[in-house]
Amino acid sequence: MKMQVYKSLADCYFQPDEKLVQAVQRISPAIEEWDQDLLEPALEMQKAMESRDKEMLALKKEYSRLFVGPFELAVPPYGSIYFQHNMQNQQIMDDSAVEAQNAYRKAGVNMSEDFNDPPDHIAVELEFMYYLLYHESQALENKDQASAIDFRTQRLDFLKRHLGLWGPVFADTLFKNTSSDFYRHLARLTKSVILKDKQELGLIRPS
Amino acid sequence: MKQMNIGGSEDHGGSTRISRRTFVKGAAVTGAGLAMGGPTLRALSTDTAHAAPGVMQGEWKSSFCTGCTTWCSLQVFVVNGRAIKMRGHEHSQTNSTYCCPRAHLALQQLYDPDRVKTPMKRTNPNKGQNEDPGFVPVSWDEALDMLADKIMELRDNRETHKFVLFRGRYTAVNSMFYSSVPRIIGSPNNISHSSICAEAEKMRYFLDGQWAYMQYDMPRTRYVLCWGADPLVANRQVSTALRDWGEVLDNARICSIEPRLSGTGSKCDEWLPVKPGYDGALACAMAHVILTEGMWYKPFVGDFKDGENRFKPGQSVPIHTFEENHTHGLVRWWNLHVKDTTPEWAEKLCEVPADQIRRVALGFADAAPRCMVWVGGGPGMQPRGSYASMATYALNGLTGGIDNEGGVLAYNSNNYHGLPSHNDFIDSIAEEGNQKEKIDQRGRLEWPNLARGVSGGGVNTNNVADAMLDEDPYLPKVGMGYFANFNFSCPGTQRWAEAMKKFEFFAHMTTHASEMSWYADVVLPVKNCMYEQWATLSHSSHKHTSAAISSPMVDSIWDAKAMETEIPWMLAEKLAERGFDNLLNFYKTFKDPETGREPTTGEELDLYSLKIRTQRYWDPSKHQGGDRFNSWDEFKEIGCWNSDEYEYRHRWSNMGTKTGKFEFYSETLKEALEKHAERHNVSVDRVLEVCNYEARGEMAFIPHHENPYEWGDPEEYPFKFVDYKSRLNREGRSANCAWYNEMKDVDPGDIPYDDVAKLNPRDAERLGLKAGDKVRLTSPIGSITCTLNTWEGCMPGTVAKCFGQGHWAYGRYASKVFGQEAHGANNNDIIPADNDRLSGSTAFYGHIRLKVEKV
Repeated sequence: MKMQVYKSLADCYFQPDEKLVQAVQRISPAIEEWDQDLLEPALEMQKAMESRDKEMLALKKEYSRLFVGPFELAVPPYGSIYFQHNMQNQQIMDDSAVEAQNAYRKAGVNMSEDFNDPPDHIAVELEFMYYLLYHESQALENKDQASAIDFRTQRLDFLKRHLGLWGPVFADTLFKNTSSDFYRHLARLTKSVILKDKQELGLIRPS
Repeated sequence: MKQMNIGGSEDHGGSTRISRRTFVKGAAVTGAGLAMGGPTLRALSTDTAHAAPGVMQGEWKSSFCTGCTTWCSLQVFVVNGRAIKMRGHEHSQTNSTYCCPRAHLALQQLYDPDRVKTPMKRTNPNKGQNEDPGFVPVSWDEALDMLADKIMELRDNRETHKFVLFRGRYTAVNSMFYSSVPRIIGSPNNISHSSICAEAEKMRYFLDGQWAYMQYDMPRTRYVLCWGADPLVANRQVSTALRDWGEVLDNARICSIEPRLSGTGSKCDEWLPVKPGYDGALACAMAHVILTEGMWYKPFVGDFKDGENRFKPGQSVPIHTFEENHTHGLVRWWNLHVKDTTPEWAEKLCEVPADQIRRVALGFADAAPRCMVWVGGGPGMQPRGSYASMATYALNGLTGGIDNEGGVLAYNSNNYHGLPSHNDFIDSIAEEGNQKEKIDQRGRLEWPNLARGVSGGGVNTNNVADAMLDEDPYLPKVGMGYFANFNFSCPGTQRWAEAMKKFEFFAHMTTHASEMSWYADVVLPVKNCMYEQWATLSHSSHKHTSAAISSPMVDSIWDAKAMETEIPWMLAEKLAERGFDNLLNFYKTFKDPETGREPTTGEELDLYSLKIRTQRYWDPSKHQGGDRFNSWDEFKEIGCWNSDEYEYRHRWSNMGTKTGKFEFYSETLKEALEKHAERHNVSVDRVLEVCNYEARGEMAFIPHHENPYEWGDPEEYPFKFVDYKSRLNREGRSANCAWYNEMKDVDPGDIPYDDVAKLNPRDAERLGLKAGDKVRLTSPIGSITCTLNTWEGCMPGTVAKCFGQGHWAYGRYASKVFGQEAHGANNNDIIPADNDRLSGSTAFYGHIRLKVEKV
């Protein structure tokens, strides 16, 4: 199911810990319920994670190199970076980050006080998709068609203007810049999920 | 919201129609959601306080600049928690709304994706440039636990002196960290960056009592000699210089004296390319002309008793024939040196034509007293540079352009209130440690470092690497560094790479990880003090001092803490947990001046320390002059205090020298040197010999020319290297700003997205080189490779290259191949570590010989 896929994907972009292991275990079953075509990278991620059971430190190092630093970020996980067409002037917190935050607030959420990263971090945007899907489904459960459409509209709008635009580019960048099996397959899955969702929402034609 | 398109993604309008199929699927999703009992959020949380997106609105907030030592008062336009743009502070009487390019670059530092985001610890125990530290995130707790354990180990073993704190840039509350933490732990080793900054320039102290930077009365001046100074680019009042320079060009004649055409030189009337290392000769020749032509400013200097000018070339003058007013020792200076320093003598040394020397000297003196020599680091930051620094500054004394309208002025007091003393928190262990010799060896026979006339009074920053490598006087074990990157900014970089390996534990506190962080055991993210915390810095120009404050004005990004307040507070808590609570108890004395409350968190300490420091501005009962505010809230709103206006001539015959006069024969330096010699039971001549000066006898006490001490055989290394600063350098910290690279050609002779060495076209042609060639510059200590540009602004026989690039570990734009290959080259890789030992200044100019080869 798509909601759980987004949730698990978001968890994969936090610092590696036990929750990551759980998130990876949840992905395959969730994908099976949604779209079998996406299963292969998810299974590969699981495999990579299993073989790294005793290598959490290596995964942490790779995560740091890719997304944290402290030196040059190999793959900045921030939307602002990818929205700046002039790639010689990459800064965080540009207008797109503010717009992302406005979308969260419109939907009734904001950045958690414990989360010390800009609002357009990939984990936040993926979690936001999960959040919208959650409320959309809850509205449907309550037969509240108007709310369901509202949440879906927000989801469509966010995918169209934010995550759906930079997410695939980010995923490609991640794929190219890591030799870690886990992160390569995470990159593939991230891109596939976003593109699949865009197809479902009619933002792009089915391939 | 604008429609954005990245990477050519195909974008359709999309559909919100919920079909039967998706409805069914949605129902299944709902079941799963409900089963979980609501959305499980980590990065997000329910927002009850802000149900709707905020309205875009902006406000100018008070701040200051840490891009150089000017510390201009600034304002930041903040929109919904985001810093958008910069300007000078509209309430400041100094730089007003003007600011230099550095201020704008600060935005790119704030929002740099390569900033340190969370505490990180090293996982690779091996240290070296080829060893990836393998940093991984840790909590603040874990990082500070590690540091506190190491400090307690030093205390348990009674070797607290082996703790070192390195300071680079700072704010005006720095002493509560920089001074107090080492002393309370028990170490004499708080090591600042000052000796790689400008100590030689401060040798003016021995003429006019100012161990300080100066302000320059630009609007009223009629003649400016920019001597090894580039005021539109660097040297401590850039914004004000940019504000006033049009007026100066209208009213005054301006000459730039240095080996390359500087940014200011391009906005001058005349350029005097002086051969590196010969500034003292040129200055003494100008003094010779001014005296022989009778052009000195008599109301300040005095005159011959009978009015007859006895200053004739080569002839001594009887001392009793001259009566001085506000100066001391003019005739002795003449008799010892200046009688012989004719323009023709100087021309052979400095390669400035004698007639040009004569013309400029007379023009300068003709404008007296509304004239100034703006002395920068150029003449002095050389081996033996003290005397050249004094010689250039002495011209201000001859022409009365000192403390006078249109001349050189001291800083107005910033009236900061003192911070609480740590003296009551030093226990016996600390007392013992504090008595040990400092790691930088200052005060030894070969290191007079005569700051404010005190033997060993100034720091010896760059010598710490050698001291550590020699383990003399001992090897430090635990270090902290903040806002500093000595591995990059000190000449002889390789020594630092080796020395930093020797720390058992090093914590680097910084906004951006750097070459120094590469050798750290933990890297701690600090707030950008211009935007993210409470802080203050003051700035002097335009006959005023302004002190501006910053505040946490932007939404915080990442898990950074304030370097001089929050981190020490957290460290103090950790030490208290381990049974050593002196530091924490000391910080508890920083009570809120308004409420009397003790701080209970680092954030409160951050605020209270600022309120204490600025109390004289906003507490009427403490007011001591300048702008008056009636409450903290009122001051906080404006954010900028201004002193009263400078009073001209109040220092005349009250100079702070031994005689109170402007000393051409420095009794003050004589006393300082004699005390240093006495301390080591040697003669002054022996001190000078050991410290590599040529002067002997009474020459030691007067401004004079010394032949430059050079590294390298002129046959093998035919060129002299001219290092200088970029107008985009936020000291060494802005190379990862995209604008730095994009706009690099604002430095004359430089090229965007490149780091070039400049060679005079005639020299290039002789060597068969052309612009664009890759060249290797080799000095006796190493080589760097960069692009060549040919440039008429480079004196023949010299190679000019801007400092600032060449980081191999700093960020995406600063490095070419991260951790391996720098973008451009670091001048300090080829500048030999040497010193002007009287001032304690590290040498950056005059001593470097090199050869140029095509790669």
